[in-house]
Amino acid sequence: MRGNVHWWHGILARSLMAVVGIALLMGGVSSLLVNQVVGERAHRLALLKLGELLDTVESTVSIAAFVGDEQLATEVAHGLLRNGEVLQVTIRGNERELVRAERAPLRVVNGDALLLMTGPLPKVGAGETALPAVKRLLYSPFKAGEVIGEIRLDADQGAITARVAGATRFISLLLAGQLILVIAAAAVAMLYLVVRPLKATSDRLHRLDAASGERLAVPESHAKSELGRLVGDINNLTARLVATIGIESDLLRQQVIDQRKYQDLFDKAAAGIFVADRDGRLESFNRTFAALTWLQRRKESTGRWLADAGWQAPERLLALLRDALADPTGKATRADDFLLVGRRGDERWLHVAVTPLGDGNVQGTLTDVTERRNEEISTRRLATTDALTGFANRAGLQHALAEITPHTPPFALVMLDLDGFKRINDALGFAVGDQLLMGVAGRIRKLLDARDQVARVGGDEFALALVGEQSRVALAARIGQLLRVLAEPYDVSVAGKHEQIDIAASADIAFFPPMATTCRSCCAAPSWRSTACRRPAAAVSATSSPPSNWRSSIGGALKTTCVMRWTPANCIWFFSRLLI
Amino acid sequence: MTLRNLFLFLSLMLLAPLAAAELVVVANPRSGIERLTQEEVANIYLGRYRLLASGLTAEPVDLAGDIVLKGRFYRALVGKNLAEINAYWARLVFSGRTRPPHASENVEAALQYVAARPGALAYVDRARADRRVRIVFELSE
Repeated sequence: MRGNVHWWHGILARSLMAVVGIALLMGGVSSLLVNQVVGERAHRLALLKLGELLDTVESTVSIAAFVGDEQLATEVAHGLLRNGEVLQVTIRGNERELVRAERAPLRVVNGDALLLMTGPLPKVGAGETALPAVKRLLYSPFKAGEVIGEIRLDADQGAITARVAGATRFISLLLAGQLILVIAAAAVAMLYLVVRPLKATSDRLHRLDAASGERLAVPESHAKSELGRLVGDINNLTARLVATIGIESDLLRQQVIDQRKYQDLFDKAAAGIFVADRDGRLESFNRTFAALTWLQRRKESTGRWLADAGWQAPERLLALLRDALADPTGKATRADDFLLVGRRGDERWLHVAVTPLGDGNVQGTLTDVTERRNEEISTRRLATTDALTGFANRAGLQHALAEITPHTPPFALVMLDLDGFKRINDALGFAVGDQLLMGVAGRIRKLLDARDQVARVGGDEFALALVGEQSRVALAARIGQLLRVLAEPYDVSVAGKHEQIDIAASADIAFFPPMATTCRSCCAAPSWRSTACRRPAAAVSATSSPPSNWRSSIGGALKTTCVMRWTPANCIWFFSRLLI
Repeated sequence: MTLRNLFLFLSLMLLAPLAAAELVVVANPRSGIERLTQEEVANIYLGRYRLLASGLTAEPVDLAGDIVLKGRFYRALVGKNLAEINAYWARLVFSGRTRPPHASENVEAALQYVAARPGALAYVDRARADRRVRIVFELSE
């Protein structure tokens, strides 16, 4: 805050300087004007006076000129020269000049003021009219109209100048005196009417403690002036400031209370709560968060990272954070489940929901969803497993095929079909059918590698995914062996009696990635049941509409695979079609 | 004043209007002047010309004793009355350079003065102009 105001910066000094400046300017201008006006007037008066002088002596001079009396003319001329403004008198007759009289530079002007002319008289060259001069023709006193000579009076420019200077000086002095009085009056008026009340108000305002609600006093007799209004406005502002401060402190108190509430909620919440930036640096977290994520709670909460916990996929969690922050509305909540693996290998599923806070950070909540996830997993396992054989069921196969990508290792899909199973089932009952199926499943399981997958996709239909690059001959040998093993008799108990049942199986095959094979070579190779390629290429259209009987559809589709040049894309499409 | 003079004065007073036309300017016959113009007479009598045309110094004579005649003369010559003429001379006398005409008491004295000096001039009634003088100008009133 500024301290004292120096007097030379004050309103009074500045106003006075302005007034003095204007006064000097106007004084200068009016002095010039006065000089001009007085000069002209003096000039005119001088001419008038010379004319009057001439009127006085005209008849005498006429007589002198008439007679040619130089003596008389000289007397008259000297008489004229006694007048202060006459510098030179010239009287001419018709033939000659009677007299030319001139005054010395030292002379008495106005009779009362002695003015010493120090400079030389103004020189008057030929033709110049700097000196005011009066000429008059002289007429004969006895014969009207006869010109007998001329008289010429030259005025004393020096005397006129001196008189003008005197008058100008006098008027200038008068003006200067007036201006000084006006300035003094203005200064006093300003000091008492403006500066002092303003300074008093300014000083009071300087010391005013606005926050305490103190009010500024209106200067005496200024209740209705601009100053009074200013003070009133300042007081209004002060009052508003005080009110605002009151509101603010109330808000602050409320905020403290709220903060305490939220802190309590934060600390004791059942959910883990954290605040983190886009890189996963933790700003703060509560006790539950530490407990859920197995993070050790240290005294300093800084320098901890979200990724410090044993997430199975920390990059996915960070992606979730960034996704929430990138949301244009800035309010979107993103949520997902993440698996946490503890130091001792125990797992925990956490549901993480993050919301941007608006300052580049996100707030997240963690809830333990391990139980739900486990339930989901067992439910899914139940849904995709064939209860009888323990193989995947049709949904399981579908799920597995859905995850095929171009990077999936090559495999051959073998569709096994038990011939005449329905008849056995019809004749001997479901219990025997089930025993038979379990036997088939056991033999298949024995013959498969660990990597191979099996699904029971229908009542007597199995799908085998034989994983690994293998030649067609080797594959054919494997499938031939499988069919042989399956063709051996099965021991079943039919109504408590031990029986043996024979059942044959047939196989269809498809490849991933698809081989550059033709129908002919494909169909020629295997020795197992093969169906002739009656419907090349056109069969594709048959698969595009959902078949009423999916079994025949599989057969048709698999035949079709023989003639198609496969790509990964249509392979996936094909398998998904196949299994719907 | 003698009886005769009184008579003369009265007769002049009575006859003045008749005799007015007979005012003349006379000069010395030896002056070398035959005729003068009215302007020349005026200039000589009012002090402007100091010399006659013949080179002689002009010596005009005023009739100080005959105010009537003098008045008539100046009235006829320059159209001024005697007061004005006196004021005129007062200024010139003041300077000292120019003198007014010689003043004669009466016509006879004036005639004698003219007869005695070659450059002298006087104004008289025509009837009084005798052989001693020559008429050089006739005033018309």
